[in-house]
Amino acid sequence: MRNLQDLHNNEAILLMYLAGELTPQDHAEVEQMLGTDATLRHELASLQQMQEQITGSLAELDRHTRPAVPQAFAEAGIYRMIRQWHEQRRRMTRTLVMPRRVMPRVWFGLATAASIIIGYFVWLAYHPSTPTSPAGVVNTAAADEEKVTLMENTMMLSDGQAESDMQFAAVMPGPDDLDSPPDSSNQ
Amino acid sequence: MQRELVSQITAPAPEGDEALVRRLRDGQTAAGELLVNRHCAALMRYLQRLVGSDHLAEELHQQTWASVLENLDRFNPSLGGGFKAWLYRIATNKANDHWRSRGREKTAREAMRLIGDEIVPQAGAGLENTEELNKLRNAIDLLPANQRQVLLLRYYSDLKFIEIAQILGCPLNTALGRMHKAMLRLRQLMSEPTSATRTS
Repeated sequence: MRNLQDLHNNEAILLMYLAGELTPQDHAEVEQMLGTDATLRHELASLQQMQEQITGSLAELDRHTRPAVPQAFAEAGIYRMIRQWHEQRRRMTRTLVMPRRVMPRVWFGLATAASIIIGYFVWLAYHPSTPTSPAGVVNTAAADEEKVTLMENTMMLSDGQAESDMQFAAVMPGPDDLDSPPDSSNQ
Repeated sequence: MQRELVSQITAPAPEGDEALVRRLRDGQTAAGELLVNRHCAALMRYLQRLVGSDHLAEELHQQTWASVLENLDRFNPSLGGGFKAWLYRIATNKANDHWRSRGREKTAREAMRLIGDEIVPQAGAGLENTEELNKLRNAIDLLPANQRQVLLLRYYSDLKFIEIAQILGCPLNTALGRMHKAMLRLRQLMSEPTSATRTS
């Protein structure tokens, strides 16, 4: 509500008075002015008549003019809009709430397991000769045993060679024996 | 008689717009439908008279409600005016935006409409009455936009002048002055002969 002094002219005051938008004090003051001022009373009557005429004419115009769209049709369109808006809002709320609710601990476990498996395969890619099964461990041991046997054999072979060389040397005649006549007693 | 009085006293008061907005925010679409039902017809009429085109009025009406829904969470009744003032502010802004963006087309469209969009006389309505109504409609169209806005807002929304001034972003005295000028101009245009109204 405004103070009467804020309204610049009589028309403004009277429009506010007719609309019932003045404070009770201002309203009483205007009524007092109307009681003493005949010109103001005439102005008020003229304004009131003009207002009623325009209001009545506009109402008449609306009665004789089709609405832009039938009201039921227009309302149905907006109702549909409201339902879509509501659905969209519900979906958005659900999306915002979902991550907390749907992310259970099982996902962390699965993610860890997946990381381990991937890591294992990556490791395998850099170590292709490594046996991939527990049997491989046995194979490694067998391979080691094989190596040991091979080395022993090699050593045994070299020992045997030395022995046979000695035997060969014992059988074969030496340079001194070549000059002497063969042992006739043996013949 | 006594029973009627009792039922009138005990009948629940219609729920306010702001309460309906709160319910709509809480997900009750029925509250939104009630709001639409309450304001749809008057708002459509306001836009129809403001822009002078059925098609455009319907488009702006839909845009207004879409904007209402989009900004519903930001609506704060304590920040000047209730839901109705907010609704009409959005509608008026939509119309202003349209005029600003399509200023050139508007002149041509209005000229076309003044020629072609006459009021169809209905059964029971005399020719004189129809002529008077056509004259009134044309007189409204001939009002300057700012005067037309105040007049139509006052008539269709039934908002207080102070709320209308807030919607239009002008001082109260300016809004009252425009209202007074619009009424005088309408009376003048209505009293002129038909041909003069069209060409003025």
